[in-house]
Amino acid sequence: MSLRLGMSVMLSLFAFLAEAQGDSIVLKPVIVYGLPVEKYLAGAHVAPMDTILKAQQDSRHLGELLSFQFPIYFRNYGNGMLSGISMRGSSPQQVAVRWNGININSFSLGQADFSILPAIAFDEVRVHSGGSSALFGSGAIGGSVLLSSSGRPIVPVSVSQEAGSFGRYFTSLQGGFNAGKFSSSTSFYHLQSENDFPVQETGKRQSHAAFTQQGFVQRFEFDISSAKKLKLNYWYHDADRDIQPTIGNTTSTDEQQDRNHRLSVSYEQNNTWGLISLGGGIVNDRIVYNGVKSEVFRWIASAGHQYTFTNGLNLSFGTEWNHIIGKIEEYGLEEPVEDRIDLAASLQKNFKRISASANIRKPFITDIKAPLLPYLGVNILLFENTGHRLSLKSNVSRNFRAPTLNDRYWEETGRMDLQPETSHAAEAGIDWELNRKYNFATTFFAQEVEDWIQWVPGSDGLYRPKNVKEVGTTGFEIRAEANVRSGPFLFRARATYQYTRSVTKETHDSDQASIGKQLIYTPLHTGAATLGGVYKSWSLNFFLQYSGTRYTDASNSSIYALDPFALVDFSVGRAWSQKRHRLDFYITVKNIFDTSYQLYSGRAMPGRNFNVKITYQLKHKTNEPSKNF
Amino acid sequence: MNLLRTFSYHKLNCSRMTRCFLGVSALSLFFLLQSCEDDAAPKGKYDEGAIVVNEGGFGSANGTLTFFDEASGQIDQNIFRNEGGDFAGDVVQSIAFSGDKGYVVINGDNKVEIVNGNTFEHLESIESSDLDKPRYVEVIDGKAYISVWGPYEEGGFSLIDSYVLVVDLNTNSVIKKIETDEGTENLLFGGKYLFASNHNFGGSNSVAVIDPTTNSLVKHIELASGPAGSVLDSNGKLWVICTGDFGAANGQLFRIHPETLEVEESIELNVNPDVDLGITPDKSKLIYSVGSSIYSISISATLAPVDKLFEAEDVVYNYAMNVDPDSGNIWIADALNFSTEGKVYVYTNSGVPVTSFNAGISPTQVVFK
Repeated sequence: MSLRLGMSVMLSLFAFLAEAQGDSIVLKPVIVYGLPVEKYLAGAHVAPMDTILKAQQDSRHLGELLSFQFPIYFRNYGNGMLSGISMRGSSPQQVAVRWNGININSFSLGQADFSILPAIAFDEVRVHSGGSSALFGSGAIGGSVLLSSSGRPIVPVSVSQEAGSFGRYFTSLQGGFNAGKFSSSTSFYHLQSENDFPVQETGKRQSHAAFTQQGFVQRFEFDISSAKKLKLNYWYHDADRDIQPTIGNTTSTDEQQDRNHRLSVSYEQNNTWGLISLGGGIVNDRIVYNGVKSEVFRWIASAGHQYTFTNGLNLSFGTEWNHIIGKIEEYGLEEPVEDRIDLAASLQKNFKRISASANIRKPFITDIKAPLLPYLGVNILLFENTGHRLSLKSNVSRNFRAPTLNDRYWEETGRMDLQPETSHAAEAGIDWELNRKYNFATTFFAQEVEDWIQWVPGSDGLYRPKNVKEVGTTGFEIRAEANVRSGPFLFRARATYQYTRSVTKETHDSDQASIGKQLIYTPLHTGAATLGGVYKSWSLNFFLQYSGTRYTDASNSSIYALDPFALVDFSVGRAWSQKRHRLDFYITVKNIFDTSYQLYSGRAMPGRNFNVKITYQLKHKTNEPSKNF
Repeated sequence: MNLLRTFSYHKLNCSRMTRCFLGVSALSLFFLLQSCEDDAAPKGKYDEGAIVVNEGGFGSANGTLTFFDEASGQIDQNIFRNEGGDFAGDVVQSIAFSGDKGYVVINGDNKVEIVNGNTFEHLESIESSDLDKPRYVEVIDGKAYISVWGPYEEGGFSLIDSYVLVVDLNTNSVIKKIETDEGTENLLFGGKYLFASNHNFGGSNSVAVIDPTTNSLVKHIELASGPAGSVLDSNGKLWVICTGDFGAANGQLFRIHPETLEVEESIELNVNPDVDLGITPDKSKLIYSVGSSIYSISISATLAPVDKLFEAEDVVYNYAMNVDPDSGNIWIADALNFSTEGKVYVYTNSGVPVTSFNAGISPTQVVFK
């Protein structure tokens, strides 16, 4: 959709809003007893994205934001280019990205491209580290990224404009209204960048890396009664980019267009038998690379039932069906059609000092024997008094990843006899909260992935996918957080560090050099930190990201390794509020030390660059607590 | 991958000295080199030895050149850095030498990098919008002849417009584009004409004949599917190996008169050979490979050999083969799985292992100088 069309739709929406505002009322809270997914993930670490970082930089893609907040590595093929996530030593395909309950990884490639997941498209972003296939199905081995829209519209109108280095402009329009039992929120966004940053290695400007992205997000919610709710989420995203070539290449003409339609509909009903939920969705992903089109259609249906016994035991059952159609030329004349049906059950209970959960899932996939996927987790409160709170967390799980459509149906080389990757994972950690101001947490984790799928060259020169690799991962993670108020000052600091040893234990004959070696693009050391202060309407933040050496070849040769780097971003902001109007102004300096770094071998990343953002918000009439900026 | 024209310099008799290198510090090595220079004046650190061309990871811009001197055991990885400073470029395809210069074809960067052939310092770059997937280069009379695949068809990966690009090396500008059949690869100057093999994964079946005095196409000689490596034998005759159709075991060898252009001999190999063709130092026997199986055939033979010369048992994925023009040793570059440092194995002409060393990612060509 063009921006112009988007704007005209938005303007007519504004006109409608102005009328709707007159009779907006405060609604009664809806009673639907859905348990948050964290409850079922007892013993695991689930963390929301920093709201300040998101508010200031929501025009950035998720990969850019998450890497400043979590010990997660992203292999970006340049600035604004394909971005693959790596959590706890996993591959990008081994992280499940879910949007409003639907897996949105590419079913042809297996991974999600984070560069086309702009933060503005979601109200909530939560990151779960570790295996959770019992809840999230295929691909939830290294972790899961959970994206969702929030309930009621936060503000009726919000308009944002950014301008930045290298011809970067971003515009967003967001609005929402409540009308009786009905509520709606809408976002439009448009991002464009010349992306011709100076390449530090050559002193010349990056050629052929411009991109534009735009999208539209719509949420409707209809509260039929206090116990019945209907929700609809729709997200359209469109990206067009020149593929940033390797350093020194000035003649590239490769380009890629991505277009995604995502629709999720759900109905929830609460009665004496429990909570019934029905869901449905459609996902249509299209990638056009140099004119070659590949497209995957997916229909999703789900049903669930949750019951809470009088003793507090929660029991839930669910099923999910994915009907997948691969419209990809390379698959040959016949379009592959695949069905994936998952059956799942969960138990959750809070005892006096213990919160425990047990989940189990069994996927059924066309011609694939998928394993049974259990998850057992527990949180134990070890000690608590007025100042301290110490708890122990632990979980064990079995996880899996189904072969992708490319793995199975690629003409000549795809293999229907591929098995899914399976993993066994365990973790344990301690959380310590001090005076409600300081938080320390540490987690030790271990995971074994078997039947890891890799494309290996055959004697005929063709690559074929095989279940060849066994990978063992061990590591630990430390998190620390402090929130201190002193007079008019509010200080915040959070830091996280992860040590990840992810090593090939067994593999194909041609890859023996990788045995005992760290996986490629998997740093041993990863860190992230935020240091911020708020004084009256001013805010000031430093964001840090650190990554250790990344090997780019299987034998861990130092010749091909990427050097460690630390990136520091700085932002300063000021807010002005006048009755229902609020204006926010931010200046961000990214990569303030002009560090030269690469996230993928041979792809340049920008040095120091600047961005200015101005946001206007019209707030509700009622005295809702304003968001804490 | 083919036997490019190599330029031999006066062999330095530094063997006694090189033995002293072992265990000697870099500083004393420097002085020794200095002293060696006083004695025999080498032109640079890399003026005598073998160069292994390593593609690097596709799209990773980490293609490299590896230097290996069999006599001294000296090995240096990543000896040429482009202006980016880290590696030679993205998908380094081939190298050719002329005079004191080396010409490195960077397939992914669409460039030809000109280097000092003895020190491998970067001198200049040939860049042109016509350099679309360059493959090989041959220098004749101050002009570079570069085989170029050209663009893919719209919405696909079929080649539709391959050619040989002629570049004036005084100005590094394109003089002419000589149209050839699709998938132009190996080049060889036969004294009068330049021969360009049109491979196209077996989809083309011709060798283009180019007259460098007029920079024009003389003709296409039709051979069999997939013409690739070529050499000149002791009689000055041109040999071209054709890899055949995929899985059809119908590769062939052809002997061509380099001036009359007559196809004098064709030999059915009953296999799908690899693309590289080698020749023994006396230029009397051709060497070709089928994976790790190495075959030898006399230039007077009319039938393919029944038995292989030897089996290179250590080799996982033969990605390049060549014959040392001095010793006759057969070098095989093993790309393993294309994602880790490759290996080069050196065998005597009877298959006895001599040595092996690590190269870069996806070693694709071995050149002796």
